[in-house]
Amino acid sequence: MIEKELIEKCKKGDLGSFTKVVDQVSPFVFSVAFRLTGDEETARDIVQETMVTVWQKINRINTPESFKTWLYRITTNKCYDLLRKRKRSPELRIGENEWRLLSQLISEEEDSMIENEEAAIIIKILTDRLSSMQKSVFVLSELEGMSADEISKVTGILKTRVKANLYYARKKIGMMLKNILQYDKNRGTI
Amino acid sequence: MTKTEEQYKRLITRLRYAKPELKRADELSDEIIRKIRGLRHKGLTIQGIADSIFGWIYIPWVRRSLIGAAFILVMVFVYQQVFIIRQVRDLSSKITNISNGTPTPSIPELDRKLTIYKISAGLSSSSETKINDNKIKELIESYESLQSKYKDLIRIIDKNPHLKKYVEKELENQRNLKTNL
Amino acid sequence: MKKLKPGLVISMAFLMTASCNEPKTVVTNIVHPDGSVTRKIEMKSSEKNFRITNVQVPCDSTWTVRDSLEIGEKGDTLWVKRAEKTFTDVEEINLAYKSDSGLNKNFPRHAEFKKRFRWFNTEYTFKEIIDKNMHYGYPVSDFLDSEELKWFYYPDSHIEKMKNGPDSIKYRALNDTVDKKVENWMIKSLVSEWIAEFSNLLGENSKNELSAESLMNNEDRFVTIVKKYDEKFDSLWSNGIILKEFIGEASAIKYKTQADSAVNISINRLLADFRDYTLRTIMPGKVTEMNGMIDSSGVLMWPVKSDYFLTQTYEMKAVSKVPNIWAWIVSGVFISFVIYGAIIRKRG
Repeated sequence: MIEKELIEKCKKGDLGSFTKVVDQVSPFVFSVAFRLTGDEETARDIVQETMVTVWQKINRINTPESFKTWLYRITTNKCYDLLRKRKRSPELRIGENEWRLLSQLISEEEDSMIENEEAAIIIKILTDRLSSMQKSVFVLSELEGMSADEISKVTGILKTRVKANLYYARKKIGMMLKNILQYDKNRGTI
Repeated sequence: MTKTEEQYKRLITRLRYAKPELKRADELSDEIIRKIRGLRHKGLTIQGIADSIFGWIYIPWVRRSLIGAAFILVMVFVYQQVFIIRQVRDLSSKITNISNGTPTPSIPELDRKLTIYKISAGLSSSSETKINDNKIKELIESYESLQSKYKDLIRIIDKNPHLKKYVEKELENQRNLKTNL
Repeated sequence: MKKLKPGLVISMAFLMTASCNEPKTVVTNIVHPDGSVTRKIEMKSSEKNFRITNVQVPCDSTWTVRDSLEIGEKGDTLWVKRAEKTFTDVEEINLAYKSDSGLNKNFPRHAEFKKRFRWFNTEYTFKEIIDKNMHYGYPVSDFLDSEELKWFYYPDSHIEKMKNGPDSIKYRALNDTVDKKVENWMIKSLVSEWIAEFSNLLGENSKNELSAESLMNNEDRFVTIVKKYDEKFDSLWSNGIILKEFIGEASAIKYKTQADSAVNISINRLLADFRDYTLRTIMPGKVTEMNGMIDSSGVLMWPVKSDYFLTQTYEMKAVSKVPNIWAWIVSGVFISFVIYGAIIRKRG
């Protein structure tokens, strides 16, 4: 991810080098934050907070590998705190647009691009009934492609708990999908 | 694989590859750097102080040693307190509550001492034994005290004719009893 | 020292104990955390003029003395003398014991104080110890079971109270049993002491039949003889009959001097003239261990009687603990610091 020399320069207080670090990792941090929070502005704020924290505590990092895990951890923790603070939203209403989007995604066609807002909506629909931890694990595993070991290091929970959370997340999402598709069938759209 | 699972997999794959796009990245980057510069100008921040105080948590052997020491301290505390509570509980079940009083020679103790005196006096081979001067002095004092109390008692009895008659009668009865025996 | 016939000794003993005019004495030790001890003596008597200098524990002109009057339980007037002194440490108390010229000066006594730092608590131990009189006697616990032993160590006032209270029949029977066993103990201890001293005096002069081992093997026989002759004992001993029955005629004649010396030594130890008193101790903090009793004011107390240190050292011990608040605070801060650090690390 980041070169060791760059980390060393940042440790010495080189803001120029840190700017390069920001440029390199911001998209990645934004991706995680956006998928977890579902809101662009919130995700940008989290990127800012994360990078400031990284700058303040960069002396603790020795290797690029530990940097990656650490970065994930800070981002996930900030998103997790936010998700826990948020009050439970009322039951999500799925409108025509949402139906169309879902149908599109699960149909055979794979060429169409998905906008940020659309992806956010879909993720929101899928993870609406998940707990904060289940959502974090789902996003990191299914969408960010991390292994259970990596997720365990990032979240600080045991690997078995990671697997358990993932199992329940998939189960809930699967059930939700089933209900949605059944409803769709009855409506005659699929 | 069921249809639902297929659809799930397809959905997830599409979502995975549809990475959220960071718009106005430069703006964000500038904001971050501006914020950091602002922090630097403030000088030593609370965060900096916290970093100095808690820097040890990032050194593995220091972290483990301190956690170990804290754990041992907690165990020692729990052990000590449990031990004390148990000691106090054991003590309260064993203690005897005594009404205030100082030792007085009781009659059975007297009997015991007399027996020992008799035996010990017998064991002493000579027909003599040694006694302390103070003891003799105490004996004389006791004797005089008893004598004066006896005189007081006789005076009280003499003053009261009814009481005198009663005492004389009782003495007579006791004398007769001894004679009969 | 005067020399008197035995019969007169017995009469004197009877008279002295029957008069009961001695002041009742209570000695209280207030132990302070720094090791200093404030000692208080309280003497109560129905007689007006009694001296405080002749007390059961060392007491001299350096003590602060106060007089007062009280009304006793039976409505009688009690003259009270109170004395107080603070000793900087137990060594000062021990020096006073060594130079004691009071009633109990012939009895080696000393005090001990220990302070142990245990981080969360400080442990204080205070003991007053009276050395045993007899060197070869038996422990009283060999003759009494646990209930009887408890009874043996009760103060006389408590014994009287229990004998006249509910279950008086049971306690009177217990008291009689204890008395008989204690008498047996004393006789056995006296005999054992005599045998040991006699052996020591014989030394290398003794032949096989008068060796220490042989005499000890015959101990029970001698105790039986003592009990058998009972009231006739004194005359039979004076005539040498008892000694002949024990060690044979030839030896009795040959070693009469040593036998008599041994008897004198043993009797002096048995009849040691100790004036009883009550000892109380107030410890800093919470008492966690002690081998005495608690009086009606919640203070640790021990009756101090000559029987208790006849054949064993009498140790009056109390242990207490005082929490070290500063250590609790420091430990709490340290543990909180470590826990907080661990949380921070986890959160990144």
